[in-house]
Amino acid sequence: MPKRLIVSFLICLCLASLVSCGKPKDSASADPSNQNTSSNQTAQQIDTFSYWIAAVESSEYYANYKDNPVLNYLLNNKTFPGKDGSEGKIAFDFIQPPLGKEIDNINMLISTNSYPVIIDTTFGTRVEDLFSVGKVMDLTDYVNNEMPNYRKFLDEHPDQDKFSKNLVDGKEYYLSLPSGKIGNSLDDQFFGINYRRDWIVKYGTQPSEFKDPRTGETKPNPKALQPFEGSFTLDISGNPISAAELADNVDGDSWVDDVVFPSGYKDPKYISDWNWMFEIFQNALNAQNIDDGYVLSIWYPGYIATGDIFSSFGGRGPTWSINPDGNVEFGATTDSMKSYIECFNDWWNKSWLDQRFAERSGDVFYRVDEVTYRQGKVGLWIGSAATLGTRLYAPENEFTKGLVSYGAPLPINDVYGAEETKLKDPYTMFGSSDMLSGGIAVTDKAKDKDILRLVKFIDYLYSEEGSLISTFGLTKEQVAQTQDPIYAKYNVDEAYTIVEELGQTLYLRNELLANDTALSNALTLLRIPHLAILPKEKMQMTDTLLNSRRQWMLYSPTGFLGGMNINQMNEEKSKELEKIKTRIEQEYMYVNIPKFIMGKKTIAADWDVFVSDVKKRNCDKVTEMYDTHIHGIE
Amino acid sequence: MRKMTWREDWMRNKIVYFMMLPIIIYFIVTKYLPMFGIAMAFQNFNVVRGFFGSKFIGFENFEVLFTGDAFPTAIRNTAVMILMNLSIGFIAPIIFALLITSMRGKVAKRICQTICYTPNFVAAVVVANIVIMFLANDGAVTELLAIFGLKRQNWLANDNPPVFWLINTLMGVWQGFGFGSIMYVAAIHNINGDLHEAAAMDGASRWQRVWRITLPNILPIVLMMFTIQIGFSINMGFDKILLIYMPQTYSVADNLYTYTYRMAFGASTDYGLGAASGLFQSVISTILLLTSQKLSAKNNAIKLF
Repeated sequence: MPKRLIVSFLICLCLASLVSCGKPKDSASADPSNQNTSSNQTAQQIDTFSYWIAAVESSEYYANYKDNPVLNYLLNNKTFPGKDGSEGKIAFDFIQPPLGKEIDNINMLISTNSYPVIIDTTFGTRVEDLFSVGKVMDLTDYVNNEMPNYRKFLDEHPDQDKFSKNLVDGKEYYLSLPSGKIGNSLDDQFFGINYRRDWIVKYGTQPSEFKDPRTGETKPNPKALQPFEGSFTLDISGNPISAAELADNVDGDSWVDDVVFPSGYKDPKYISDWNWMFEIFQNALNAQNIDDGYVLSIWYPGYIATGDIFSSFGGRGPTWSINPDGNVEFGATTDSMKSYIECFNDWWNKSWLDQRFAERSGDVFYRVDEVTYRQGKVGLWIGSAATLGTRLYAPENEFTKGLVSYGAPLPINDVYGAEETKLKDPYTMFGSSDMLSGGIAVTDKAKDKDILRLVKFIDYLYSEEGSLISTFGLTKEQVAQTQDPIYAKYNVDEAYTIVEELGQTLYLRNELLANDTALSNALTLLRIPHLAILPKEKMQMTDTLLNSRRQWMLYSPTGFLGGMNINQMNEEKSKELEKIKTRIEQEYMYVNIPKFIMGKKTIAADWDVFVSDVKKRNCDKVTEMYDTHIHGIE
Repeated sequence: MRKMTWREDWMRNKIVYFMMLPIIIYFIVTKYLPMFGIAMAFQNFNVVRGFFGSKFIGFENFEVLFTGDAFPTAIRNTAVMILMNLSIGFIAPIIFALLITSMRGKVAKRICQTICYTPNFVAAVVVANIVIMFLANDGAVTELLAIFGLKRQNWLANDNPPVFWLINTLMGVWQGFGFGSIMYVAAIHNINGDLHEAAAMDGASRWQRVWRITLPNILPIVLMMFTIQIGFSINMGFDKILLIYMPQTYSVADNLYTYTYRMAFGASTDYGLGAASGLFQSVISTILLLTSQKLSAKNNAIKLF
């Protein structure tokens, strides 16, 4: 009998649990979208939308995006037309997931039907799936008829329009509103190749002659075999100075030297220039007795998927990218990969390459082995704009004394591999893309809301005025009007000023913001979809620094496939594509490319097997799927 | 003797039944209700569509799992690491229990026990980081091994010879041997002291007493723990491997847990594949547990259930 009692009790417990699970809660507390119903009624003409937004800014500035200064200004000072034609304000109630748990969080909200009115589509479930079950609304009519600024942007940028659409059952919709760009700026490419210019000056000598590998033109070097000279030219206030050592009163970005590479250029344009430079770096390491340093770092697993140095060898990207004909190609099985491996294997054998690169699988792509290069023990590394010039100088690290780092362009191969992989322009650095990014979708919880007011708000952020305030922040008048505490805290009385230059209107960012990306992001409207007009920024850099930054954008990122919205494929196809890609890249290339570079496998003995293995894993199918998809959209 | 009716039993033991209640609820909520999730293993599961809307795809997830390139390697490594955990990892707490119960000074004994229990409460991520630091090129263990003429290297990046298996086992031993010895220490304390006294008077050495008295007396507990350990072995400690392995050591470090993690949550999230692997591992665990139970019962008449 006790058994029966226990069983009965358990059944009751289960039933009670199930019943309570299905029991509708008080709608106001269950549904974030309704949380502000009462406030809507009391605060007249304000439509409040609950908004799931991923946290990015440091909590040093604000913990909730509702405290963003630009947003505050707009919400307090701007009105937008609603469906009844009346002008009204808009407000947001932000829901921020814990950092790193974004996908889990949004999936949980969706699976428990407790998602808000607006969701950030960057994370979690495909917006097409949400639409197909009625959880996301179709914004096509709004985009075409109620958003003139956004529509104009899409019409002027058909490439971006193409990828902003969502295909569901063969029909095109606008289901999300992304952030757009009018082109790439130096700020987009925030990282790249850095190298120790001071080591070249200190440990190198002038090339005996200059020879451009592409033209074959040879010129004598009047300073042949003489030591290089270099010095800082400005003090901290920007006043010219004669030769000086790095000290507190020197502008670290004002370094000027007479370094010219063997190709005849002031920047290391060819692989042969790199080899010449690496020999100097090796001498520098030896002269300073640096045992735990190395000549160059490389990003695990030996390549960057979007191109980078791989494209120096005539290819587009080591995996999938768009070739000049507009078709998709797979780079890992090409001669470009063979030349790339040959080059890196040579550098490995000369002990120039970081001997532990294959172990650095956890490093961030723009901070590879940060500890060692911050100690001044690396000649060339993948770093960010924050490591250019003398920014790495730290008195406690003796090898950073006198450190001056320059940005290097992707080199053109003139040394390794087959002839057809030589003297070809590289095509990209990771990071730059003309593609749309991020985006929001409006869920079915907005049925009782005035969606028109919301889309008008987003459309405003695509207008000239809206994109300006979103991209650069508040003007002096706007700061004075809002009395924003964060602007006040950091003594920013205006985020930018207007400069007329060569008949063009440019925007000069506040010096503090120009030098602090995190603060700049916090004081602009980075996370709400808007039109970014970064190329209209006037860069306030020394010529030296500007030249360094420009090296990272020397070549146009024409073949970048990473920004493509593969969600436009149907669910089965995108899942199949991801599975094949995982099998090829993560399971095979990540293991085998480092082995080739480290000489554990050789081109002569193992290349054919490598190609055959990758093909066996269906790389051609992915190429075909991408191709069909791209041409299908077109 | 008359058997009690359920009413009499309830009246007499109702407090005990009430005490059971939280445990029952805990097991139902955390162990049984989530079992509905098994359905995902047979679906192309989509968060938006849920259990009832996602497409049924039969054994397709299992097919993807079993036909993966790294699956045979993962199976082999899992088996090797389980065997090492069950041998070295299982014996270590017993040896420690025998040693600790032989100590005479009470204070020293307590201090020793406390120090050895502590690693059990260290988070996996901390343990993994300690191991990474100790075994790095310039790590303390590497330096120590270099004194004995071994090559200075990052031992975690070495796949030939497969030292990773040993590292994983020792990592588990370090973290678990102290806490794992609690049962054995208790069992040893429960042995009638007269037996040891009599043996000592008959001239038995310490080793003979351990071999002839202590071990036979704790054998039932040892076998019970071994049976449990076998059942859990497929899921134990592999989370730490996820933190310390790298593609260069997939050939020796990849196991069912890490392989599934990569396949299911690598480039994109695939709940169906994750559920399929979880179910597969649970089935293996159950088979191992039942086999071990059967063998144990057959040879020693000791049953776990």
